[in-house]
Amino acid sequence: MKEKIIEFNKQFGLKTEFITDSEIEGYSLGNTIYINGNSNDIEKVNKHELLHFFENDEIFQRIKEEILKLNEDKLEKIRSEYYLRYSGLYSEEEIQRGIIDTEIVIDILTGNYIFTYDQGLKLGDYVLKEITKSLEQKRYLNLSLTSQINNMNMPKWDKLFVLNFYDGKEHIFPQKEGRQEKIQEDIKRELERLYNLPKEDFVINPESKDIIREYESELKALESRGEDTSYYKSYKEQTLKELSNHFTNQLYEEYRHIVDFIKGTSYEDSFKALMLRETLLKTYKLDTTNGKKTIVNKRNMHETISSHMTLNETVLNTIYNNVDNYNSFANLYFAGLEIFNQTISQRNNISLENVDTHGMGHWIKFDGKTSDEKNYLKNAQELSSLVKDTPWCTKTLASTQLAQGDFYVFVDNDNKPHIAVKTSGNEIDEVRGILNGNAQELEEDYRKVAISFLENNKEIKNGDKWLRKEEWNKRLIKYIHDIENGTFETKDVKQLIEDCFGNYEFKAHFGKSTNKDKLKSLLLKIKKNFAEYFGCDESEIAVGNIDFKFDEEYRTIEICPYKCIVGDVYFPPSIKDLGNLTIIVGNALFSSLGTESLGNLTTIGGDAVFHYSRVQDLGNLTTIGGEALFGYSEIKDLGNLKHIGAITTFNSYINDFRKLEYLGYVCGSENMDYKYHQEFDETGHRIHKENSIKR
Amino acid sequence: MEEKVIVKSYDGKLVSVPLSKKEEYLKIQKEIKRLLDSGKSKEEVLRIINERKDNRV
Repeated sequence: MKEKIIEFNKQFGLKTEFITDSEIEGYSLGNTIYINGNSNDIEKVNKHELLHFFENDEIFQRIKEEILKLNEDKLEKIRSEYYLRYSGLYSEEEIQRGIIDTEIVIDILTGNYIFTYDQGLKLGDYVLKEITKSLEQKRYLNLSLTSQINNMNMPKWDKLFVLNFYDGKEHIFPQKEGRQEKIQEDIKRELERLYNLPKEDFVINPESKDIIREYESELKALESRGEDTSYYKSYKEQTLKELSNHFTNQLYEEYRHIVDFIKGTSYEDSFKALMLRETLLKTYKLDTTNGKKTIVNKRNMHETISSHMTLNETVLNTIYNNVDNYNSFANLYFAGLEIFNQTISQRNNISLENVDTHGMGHWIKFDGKTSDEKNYLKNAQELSSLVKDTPWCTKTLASTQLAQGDFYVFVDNDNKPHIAVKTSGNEIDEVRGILNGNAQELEEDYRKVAISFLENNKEIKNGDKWLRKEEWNKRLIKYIHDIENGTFETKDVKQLIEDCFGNYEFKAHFGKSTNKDKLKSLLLKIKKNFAEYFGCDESEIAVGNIDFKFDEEYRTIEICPYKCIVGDVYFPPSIKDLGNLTIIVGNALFSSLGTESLGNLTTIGGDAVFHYSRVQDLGNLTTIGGEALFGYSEIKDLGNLKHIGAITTFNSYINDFRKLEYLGYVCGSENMDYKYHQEFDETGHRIHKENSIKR
Repeated sequence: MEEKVIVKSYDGKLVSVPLSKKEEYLKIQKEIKRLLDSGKSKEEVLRIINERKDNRV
């Protein structure tokens, strides 16, 4: 019986092992079913375990729905019979809500119900049979020769061709008369067909699940960078069409590359045909989220966008020469990739000037289409092989990614990949790590390696800026999440203000961000946190932009009622006194302010515009976080101002800059900070007489 | 997702339970069997088990 179960489970691609335990009847882990060898009904346990294994399969779900519908009027009673059996796991209410319906159905299908239905047992067998059939369609190349085929007088690969090609439906096994000749004809014909597939066969449907998933993934990536996705959403159909064209061309190009290579080899035609069939019919992937699991799926030529298999010299040689040592083609294929992998990292090892690897490994570069059009597909094979154990989609989309730009991978001293840097043109597109599965975050230890690369790699533009922007966006998303969940903390206010208002680099270089816009729209919800941070009452704080002229509630006031404004503010002539106003977090427009004094104001987080204003002295103002525009104003000196964050235009009165400790200057795409004393003489007087300070 | 194992319930039927709850579950099922063997009805046993659970909570 044990042998029977082992063979039975092989149909599902599952291994079986027998255990001894006083309490556990069975369980499954990865691709193995474990059964208690001392159980008095190991067949039942096995079936139970199998049905659990495939409970998400379409066939099981369909049968489950049918059974539940058929017993709709008795369902409450059936469920109530399970109260005692599930005591300790689920409450009666949960059971009546259907939480164990899958269990009930499996019990009916395996004779584990309170009484046995023969019909139920037959249905259980039917479900398992249907599952094996559907698995057959997804199954990888069969290497287990039947005794009939094994006894045929022909080379090994011809026999394997016979085993896999003649399916009894589309291709019928030839009759005995002239069989060998017929088989050889079929091999040649099939190979010729595989060499000459037209491009139409590779056209990907724009509405396929893979394309839609790719489209949604692109949108998500753009949104996480705070970029505007409205174009892509408005022109969804066109975007899907462009994606499908791109993948169609890519997959056809890959196919031609494999065909050209295979044509030039000296293997038997049967071997060549089988390899081409395999990559055209299936996709192979290693899932490393829960141990290493091989995932083989049927390739639908008009829907599947995953890259073809890596069929190069090393992999094909390994497969060809080791077929007798393997029962599973998938294992044989991945063994070939492993051998191939070992050659890649040494060959493509690059040394980048000024890039510090901290002794943790080395960078490998894969030239993309723009850098090396002739070899980029070969490079794609190497890249996808190298990263096959990572969560990166590169393992199945390498050629698509290399078509856009070069790719860099950082491997440790054991050649294990830790960082991926994808470029588009010569700009960074993505930086990914291997932490937290699909989150693909950088491991803490490798951040410094990534930072050194991005800051110092001369082959890539703006790498350091990319990283800072990425981290900025991540912070914005976290603030949004925390505010919406009510978990935002006051300790994060300072950084939030910098990220949202004050940091000129973010404004100047990172441009528009939908994340920033969304965050600003939520700030009112954390008014109490701002109040706590600034040490004042909530009534003394305004959150949001204020226009004292046009906002209804301020039409009649003359004194600013706030101590702190978290937002931008416009002061009309009607405001004659800034009252207790101490901090403006955003931009401040004083051009029409109806007073000469800034009162108690000490800090402006954003820009300060004094053009044509009545203001004559800056009073207690010490900090302007953004631009300071003093042109055409009556301001005579900088008073107590110590810090100006960005480009400044002075008027002809202002000449003494001795108190100024910091003056930032932003021009175009360069962020050049410099100390004022480089441009002033030792008495602190400005050397240049223009209205703006130049570097 | 948590690993599950198959064990036997009070009435010898196969039940799939999370590994972390196996001990507790088997203890309860053992108690259920003992109460049923002592002559109590299923309804009474269910009531007793639920009461004990509520008291613990």
